[in-house]
Amino acid sequence: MSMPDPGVQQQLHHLYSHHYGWLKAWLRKKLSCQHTAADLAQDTFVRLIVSDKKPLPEQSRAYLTQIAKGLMIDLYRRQRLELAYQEWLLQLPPVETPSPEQQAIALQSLIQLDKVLDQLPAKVRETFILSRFEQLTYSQIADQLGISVAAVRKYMLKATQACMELL
Amino acid sequence: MNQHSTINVVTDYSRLQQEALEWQVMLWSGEVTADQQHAFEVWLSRSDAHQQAWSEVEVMQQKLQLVPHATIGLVKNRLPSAKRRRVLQMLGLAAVTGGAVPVVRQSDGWQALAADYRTHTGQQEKVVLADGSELIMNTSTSVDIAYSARERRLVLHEGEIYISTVADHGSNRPLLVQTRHGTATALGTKFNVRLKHHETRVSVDEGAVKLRSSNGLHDLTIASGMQAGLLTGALSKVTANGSENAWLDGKLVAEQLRLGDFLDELSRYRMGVIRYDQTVANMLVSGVFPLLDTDRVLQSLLQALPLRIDYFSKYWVTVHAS
Repeated sequence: MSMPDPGVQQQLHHLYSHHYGWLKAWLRKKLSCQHTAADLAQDTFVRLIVSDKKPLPEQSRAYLTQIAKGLMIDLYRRQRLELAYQEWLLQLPPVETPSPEQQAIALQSLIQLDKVLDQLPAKVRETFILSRFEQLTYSQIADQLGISVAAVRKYMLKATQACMELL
Repeated sequence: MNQHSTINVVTDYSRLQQEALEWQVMLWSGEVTADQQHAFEVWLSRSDAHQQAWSEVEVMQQKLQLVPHATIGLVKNRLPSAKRRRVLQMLGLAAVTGGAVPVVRQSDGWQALAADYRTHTGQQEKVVLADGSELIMNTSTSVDIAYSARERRLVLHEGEIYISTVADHGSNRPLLVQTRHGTATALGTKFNVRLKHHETRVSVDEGAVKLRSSNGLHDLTIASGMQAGLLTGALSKVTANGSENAWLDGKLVAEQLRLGDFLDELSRYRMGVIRYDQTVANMLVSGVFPLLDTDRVLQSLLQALPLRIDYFSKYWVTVHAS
């Protein structure tokens, strides 16, 4: 990342010194965990700095709140995925429990896959899940979704490309 | 190497990656012919660069295989994006986050997170509202306050609240609690609203409360000492209050309660999960337990019943017969 020019830097400094405090307090109220609140407040500013848009002074508060809300929703979703994964781990016979390292990779993959699929159109997402997780053949998927096998292939290519980029 | 040929190499490699992806999609079809399989092997053996491109696809494929089937339900169950965008617009979120924000559908999850007032697992909190009405929030609860010139509306997204209303000086606006199952309108009163998965249970301490199902077709007024449930498009029978509101004193009161139900109730107040064998679910529990010390409650069960409790971690507790 290149350094912002002095004017932008000054603007960011101003934003940070005026808004970090209340943003952290606001997040703390929502999350009732001081450390998570501090982390998310920090992340909110990072998100702001890397984005090209800078709010007008009178909109700063609303703008930061919106970024922070988005981050909270991400966090919440992530926690739910983590919990689901742990629940799954618990059902496994002890001998089949993956190593901690594998668990970390798997959880990371799950979270990334969630992001990937979220960006895809519903039909593409559905196709990919039916193929990769329900083990249906392309003809079976075509029947089930009422589309052609060529369309299934096209959707699979699109989803696989997205997986390659993010997974 | 001059610049021109570097660009060529890069283009060739991304072309190989694209080809590798196409092969992967073909191999996943579940209907690969021997000819196709052979053609793929020929392609793969053509150069190291081909194999390199393929190995990258394989890394992705292996990561996918690590994702348990059991967790896919969560990934799959999303609102259709148009609906999601509309909801986000209502929240004022759309401007920044666009359509890419993941939204959890179950139990109003994301509204719960962005709600005005919120308690976490094991936490209770009292809030005095702008008109002087008092709200006590039980564990894992989130409420939005939507007071307007016409009404005093509370939206319960998750959990349980106890409300003591005061008269609305001057404007006489009705106070109502809305959940996904319907509304409960206070008629000068103290009452408890608990949002469960299938119903919203309303029990009245003082005064009366009028219930209306979410489709607007069913009305019912409950008097003090009574309770009823709002279900999607229906209302349950009215019954007398038990000790449901003991949580206000930080207590869980059990009178010949099934252990399974008891543990489900207890787990509302505890981070993580409490599991139990079906063999113990029908044992009966009686007693008064301190809600905010769930470890102690679990220990005291051991003294009263023939049980064994395994702690997989602090957050994963399993109850077995001993």
